[in-house]
Amino acid sequence: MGRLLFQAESVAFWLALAPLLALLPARLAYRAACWRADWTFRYWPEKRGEVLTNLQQVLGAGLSQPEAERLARDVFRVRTCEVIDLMRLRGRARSLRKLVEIRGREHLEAALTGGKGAILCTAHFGSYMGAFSLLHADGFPVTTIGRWWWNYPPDESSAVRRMWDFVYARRVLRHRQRPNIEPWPGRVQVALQAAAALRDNEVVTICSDAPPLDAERARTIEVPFLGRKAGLLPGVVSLARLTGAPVLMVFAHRSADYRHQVLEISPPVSMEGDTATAFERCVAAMDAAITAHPAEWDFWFEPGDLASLGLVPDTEPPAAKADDHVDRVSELQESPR
Amino acid sequence: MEAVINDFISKELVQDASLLPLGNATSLLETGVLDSLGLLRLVVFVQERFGITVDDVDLVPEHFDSVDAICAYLRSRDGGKVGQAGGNG
Repeated sequence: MGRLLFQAESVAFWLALAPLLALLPARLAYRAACWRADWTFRYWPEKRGEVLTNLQQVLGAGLSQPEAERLARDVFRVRTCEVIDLMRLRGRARSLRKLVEIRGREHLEAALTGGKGAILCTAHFGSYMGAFSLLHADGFPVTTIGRWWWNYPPDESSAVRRMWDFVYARRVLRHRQRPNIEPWPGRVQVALQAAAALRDNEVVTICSDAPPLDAERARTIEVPFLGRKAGLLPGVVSLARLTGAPVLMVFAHRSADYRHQVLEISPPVSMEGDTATAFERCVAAMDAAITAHPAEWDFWFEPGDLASLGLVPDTEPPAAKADDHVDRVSELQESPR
Repeated sequence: MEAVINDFISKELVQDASLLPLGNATSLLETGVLDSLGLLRLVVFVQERFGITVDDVDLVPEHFDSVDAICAYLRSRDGGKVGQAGGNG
């Protein structure tokens, strides 16, 4: 019953409430988003407990209970604020742009003078989809490599897919140079599509903390990540080496007032050394961003994804995994992988 | 040309030794020799080895599905000059 209530509330929020809130002055819009998050945090004990457990398992026993509670509430707030960010992408995204300070823009501009495009690498961290949209609205031709989460379950209903296309993909893709490049198993043209964009001196984005699919697991490499060894896909390094495109790390994090953000773009990451060595540099940057702003990471909501990365024990029974997509619909916000 | 391409694929991309020696007509996609990044590696090799740029419209898996298909594609470019210029290495 509780889950159904939250599913209904989530759908209503995405379809009706959030678009209206986004029209309010930013101060009010983001405050209302935080109220909604606090309400969900308080009255959805199962999800709150899950987030708390995940935080404590990954960040360690050093995290006190009050600190973990505050962090978990922040996780809820950040994710709800990200919905408002997406809604503020309307038009030329000016209503979001004025809230975001972009640092390191000169690194991206310098990277593109090389004529081989640029790869922006990030984690499922902060309002990264909104950040990519802002960069596109600022004049950078951005294309994203990533899978929409609603395309994961093969038996997902067309109504659910259409809803997410309508409320999410439509808004994001308005600020993209090309359609998303979705790396599903068997889609061998994916790297070629990314290479074609880079050859046209465009910007390709990739989240390198994505949990691997079963079919991809053989290609993962073990890298230090959040105090453990995680199995991640080093595709960003392979793509950079084959195309000659520089890799820049990018992270957006929210200020204490929840409405302002800082989008930081790094200088190019060195690709010296073997694949594992170069990839470890990218992973270290993700690790540092998550450690500095833990509430911004998406995967606290996703125990299955954390287990897939090797960060928490895999305790989920197979039947629960099969039903995972049911829970996903009721999340506050999901994110492309 | 066939020998050069077959040699590269056999040495750099084939992970299943049972596929060797690689037939020129063997489908690289159906046998799993080529994944997404493998296909890109192959395209980069062909471009560098034969001094060509594969146009965006030609960046399709069908042109790279077998050694024969790759050679046919290369010969179809510039009236077959590609193969003559760099194919005997």
